Amino acid sequence: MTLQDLEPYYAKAEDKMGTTRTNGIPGLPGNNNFKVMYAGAKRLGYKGVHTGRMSINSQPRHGRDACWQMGFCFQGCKSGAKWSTLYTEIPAAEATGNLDLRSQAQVLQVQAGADGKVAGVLYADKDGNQQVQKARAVCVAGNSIETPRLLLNSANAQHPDGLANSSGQVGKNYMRHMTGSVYATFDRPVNMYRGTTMAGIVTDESINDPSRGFVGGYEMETLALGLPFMAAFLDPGAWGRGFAAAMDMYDHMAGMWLVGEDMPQETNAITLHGSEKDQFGLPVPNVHFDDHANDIAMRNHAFKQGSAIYEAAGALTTIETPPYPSTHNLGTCRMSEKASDGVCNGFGQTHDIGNLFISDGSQFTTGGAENPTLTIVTLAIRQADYMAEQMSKGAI
Amino acid sequence: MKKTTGMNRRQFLHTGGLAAAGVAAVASGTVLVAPDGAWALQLQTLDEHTAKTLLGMSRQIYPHDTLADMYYAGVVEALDGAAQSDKDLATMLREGVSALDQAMGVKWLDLSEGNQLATLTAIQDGAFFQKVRGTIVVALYNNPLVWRHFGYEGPSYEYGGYINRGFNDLAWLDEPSEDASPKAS
Repeated sequence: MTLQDLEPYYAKAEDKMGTTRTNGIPGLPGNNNFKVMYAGAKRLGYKGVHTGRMSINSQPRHGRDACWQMGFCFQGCKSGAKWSTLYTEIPAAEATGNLDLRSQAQVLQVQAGADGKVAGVLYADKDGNQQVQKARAVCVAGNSIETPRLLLNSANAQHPDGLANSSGQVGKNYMRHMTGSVYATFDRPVNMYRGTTMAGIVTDESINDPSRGFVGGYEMETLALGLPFMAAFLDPGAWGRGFAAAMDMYDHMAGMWLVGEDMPQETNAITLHGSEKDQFGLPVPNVHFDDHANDIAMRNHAFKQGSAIYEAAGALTTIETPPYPSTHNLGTCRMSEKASDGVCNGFGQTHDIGNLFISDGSQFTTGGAENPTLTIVTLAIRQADYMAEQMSKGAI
Repeated sequence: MKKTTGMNRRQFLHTGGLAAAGVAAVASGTVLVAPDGAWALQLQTLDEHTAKTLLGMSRQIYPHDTLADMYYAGVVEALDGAAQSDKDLATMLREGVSALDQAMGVKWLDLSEGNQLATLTAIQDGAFFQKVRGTIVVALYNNPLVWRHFGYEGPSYEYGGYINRGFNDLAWLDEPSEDASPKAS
């Protein structure tokens, strides 16, 4: 699969999502936190510094308002400026009359028939009653933890190691991006929490330049946490006068997130827990992740460069904050050319079962340096076209 | 240099069971009263000494000198509330305070600041300290009235966001280029 294959679908995704700096949509206005990043990055000589390509409306578009600069982008956007399938694609699909949406349900098992194809799903409905839904094709989109868990929990006599797992790759090569944060304090107020949380980026370090001591690259993106999260995550577990003094500088702080390509490792994996079960009696997922030496070297470089940006902007102090507990979940059902190397092909169609598809970030073979939603959406649109073609040919 | 708390007693009374001394309708239990009478906290489970020591501990763990005791009393209220439905926690808090009192043979509250810190540092990896720290980091910094001390303005939706309320009012650095940061439309 090449970039050329994906380009038309990236274009469709950017148009659907209303990504700024594409389709003639202007960039978002920078907030205070961006102004600090911009000043420091420019003084250091960085070139790619702007308010990013955000799927957040900078002007009214497709019936949704422009950004109000509320500062709660991570919690879901109350003004609807930030793209979300909840109020874009799903209502549009319902309006066609062809979507039967069953919310608050959980699929317990993908059921395989004697013909080697999947026949449907067993699910618990919103009242907890178990139901079977027959299907011509099944697309699994639970992302990198729940998708492999479902495939593993769907093991049967024909597929004793789980569905689509003849390669043994289901659950393997779990990725979560190299991450970290740098916060800095200044002698004048910043009020970083005001405005679009992540509309600010320095792209210069996203290249592959092994002379830096690691392969792959990373982005630096503006980030702010509200006071309670800041207290919990600035320096987890820290207490005493030094910590309190840093917190006292909250409104004089600027912050950035570091996000880069982490190394896929087979030992980073989602497996079924040996004893813990959910309310339906299914094993819960066990998540294992260790940094690769390359991740550690990249984070070290990113901490130094992020701190240098803030020092160039006049920082009094800089604080290196370790990765937050939640992040981008990627990998675990990777694409591969050969069926023995991965779970699905370039269209997300599983190698083992022609009418079973992976439609989420677990298809990723590597994480890249970028925030992944655009690529996940791009792959999903391309997969939908492929499925329509296969169904019209009668192949599915 | 630091901002004032910008809050009066009436506002504070709305945060929970804390009440101004003199107006508290005390049904039962122990009441912790501020030395200056500014606030009173009715304890459900903890004894007065345990509560006072936890308040002192909270001040040492997250020492913001200009943040009044009543905010830390809110932390004690959270611990007291949690202990009401969790007997093991109540025991842990009582025994933890007792151990602090015995650490140097002088009641912890009567120790010098340096000795208070030393005794806390000695137990910082233990379950008691971690439970107290983990509870108060939420109870202290997630109090909307405490946000004012730190200059955090909290939810903005009801005010229409920050688009017209200073999201880009920083004026002590060069403005970004129009290309990097277009004007709001």
